Amino acid sequence: MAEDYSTWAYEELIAEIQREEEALADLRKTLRDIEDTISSIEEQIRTEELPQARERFLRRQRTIARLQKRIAERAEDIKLREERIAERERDAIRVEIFFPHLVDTIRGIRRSISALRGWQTRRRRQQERDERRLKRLMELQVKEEPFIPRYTKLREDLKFWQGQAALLRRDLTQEEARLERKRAALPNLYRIKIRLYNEIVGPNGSPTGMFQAWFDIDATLDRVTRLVRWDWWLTALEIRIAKTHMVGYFKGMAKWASPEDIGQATLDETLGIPYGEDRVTYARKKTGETYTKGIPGEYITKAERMTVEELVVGESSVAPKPNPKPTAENMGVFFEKVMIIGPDGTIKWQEVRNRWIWHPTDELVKKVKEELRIAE
Amino acid sequence: MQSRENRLFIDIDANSSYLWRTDPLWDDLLELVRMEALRLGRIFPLGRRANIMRSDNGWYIRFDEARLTKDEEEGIMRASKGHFGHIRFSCELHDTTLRVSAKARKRSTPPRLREVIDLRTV
Repeated sequence: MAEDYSTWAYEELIAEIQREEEALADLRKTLRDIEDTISSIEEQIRTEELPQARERFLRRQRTIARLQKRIAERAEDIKLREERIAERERDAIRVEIFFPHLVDTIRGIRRSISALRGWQTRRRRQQERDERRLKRLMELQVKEEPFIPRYTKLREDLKFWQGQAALLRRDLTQEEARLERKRAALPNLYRIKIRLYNEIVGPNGSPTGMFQAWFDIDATLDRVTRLVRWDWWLTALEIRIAKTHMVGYFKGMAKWASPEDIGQATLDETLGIPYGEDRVTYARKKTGETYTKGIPGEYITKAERMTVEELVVGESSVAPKPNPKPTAENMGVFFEKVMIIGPDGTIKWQEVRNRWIWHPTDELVKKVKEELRIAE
Repeated sequence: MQSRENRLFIDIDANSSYLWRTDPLWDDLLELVRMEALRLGRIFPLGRRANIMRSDNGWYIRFDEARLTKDEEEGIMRASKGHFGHIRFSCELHDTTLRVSAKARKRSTPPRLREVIDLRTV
C-alpha cells in the first residue's frame, strides 16, 4: 500500500526528496556503467562471431565428428575381419591335418587368407591415414579451442549484466514513481518572478523592452513539465493587477517630486487607470512641461503611448520558490523594481521598489488552500 | 556567494546564429534545437528534462530542473547557440526572461510546449 506522504512535514519531505534524488543519481550512474559493460560485451561477441573464423571452426568440427565415426566403424570392421581370418586359419590347419590330400582346397583356403590379409592391410593403412588426419584436425581445433569457453563466457556475462540492468531499471522505475508521489505531496503553490515589458523593436530588428517591471506573483506548476500554469485563475488575476499597476506607475511618473511620492501614482488620477487602447496621459504644468524629474522627455513621450494590452509577460529564470504555508501576507503581487531601457539595450533609469502592491483576501487564500489541498 | 536558484533559458530564433542557417534542410530548426538541448545537457548538470517550446518565429529551450548560480547561467548562455541579443540583454540586466504571453502584434501566440527531452538518455 502506498505511503501517505501528505502527513509529512514540508521540510522533512523536501529533505527526503533530495536524498532520494541523490540516490537515484547514483543508481542511474550504475545503470549507465552496466549499459557500457553490455555494449562492450556485445562488441566482443560481434568480433568473435566473425563469419569466416566461425565457419572454419564449425566445418572442422563437423569433419572431426565424421572422421571419428568412420574410424570407430572401421576399427570394428577390422576386428571382425581379424576374427574371420583367424577362423580361416583354423580351418586351413584343420584341413591340412585331417585331409592332407585335398591340396587344391588347402591352397584355395591359403589364397583366401592371403587376400583377406591384403585387404586388411589396406584397411589398416586407411585407418592410420584417417587417424593422422584426425590428430591434425584435433590439434588445429585445440589451438582455437579457447574460442569456445571465451564465447560461452561472453554469452553468460551478457546474460548476467542484462539481468542486472533489468533489475536496476525496475528499481529505478519504482524509485521514480515513489519520488513522484512525494513530489505530488508537496504543496503545489509557488512564488514566481515575472517581468512585464512593452515591445519596442531595436535598431538591429530584435525586440527590446523599453519599460520593464519585475513582479513576484503566485503560481502553480505542472507536475510533469514543471512549467507554470499561466491559465490558473490567481496567476491570471495577479498578472492583470501587475500590468495595471505598471501602466499606472508610469502614468504617475509625471507627478513625482521625488521617488517617495510614487504612492500618489494612481491614487489621485482623475482619468483612471488606462486599459486596453487607452493611452497614458501625464499630468503637466500649465506650460505643458511634465512634473517628471530626471526622466528624459523622449521616454515620457513613449510612456504616454503605452497601454495595458501591449504589455508582454516574461517568466524569469529564477526558479519558483515553494510557498508551503500560504497566508494573505506572503501571497499577492510584489513589485520588485522598474527600469527604462534605452534603444541600445542598456539601462537608462531604474528604481528598486521592493513593496507589496496587492494581497489576496482571506477568502481567496482559503479558496486556494482548498483547491490545492494545502493543510491549514 | 551566489545562490543556486536559476534555471537555464535559451532563446533560439531563425536569425540567432548563422550556424543555424547553414543547411536549408533544417527547415524549422527543430532537429538542431534538439541537438543543442542534448549538447548542453551532456556538458552541464541541467537536470533530467529539457522542455522545447515553440515561439512565434523560433524556439525556446528551457532547463526547468537546472539550479545554477547567476554566473553559471550567464556563462552557459554565452556558450550556447541562443539568440545573441537575448543573451546580451540578459547579461546586461542580470535577469533572463522568456516570453510566456502573446505579443501585442498580430498573429502572435503564447509559446507552447513542443516536446520534452529526457536528458538521462544522453
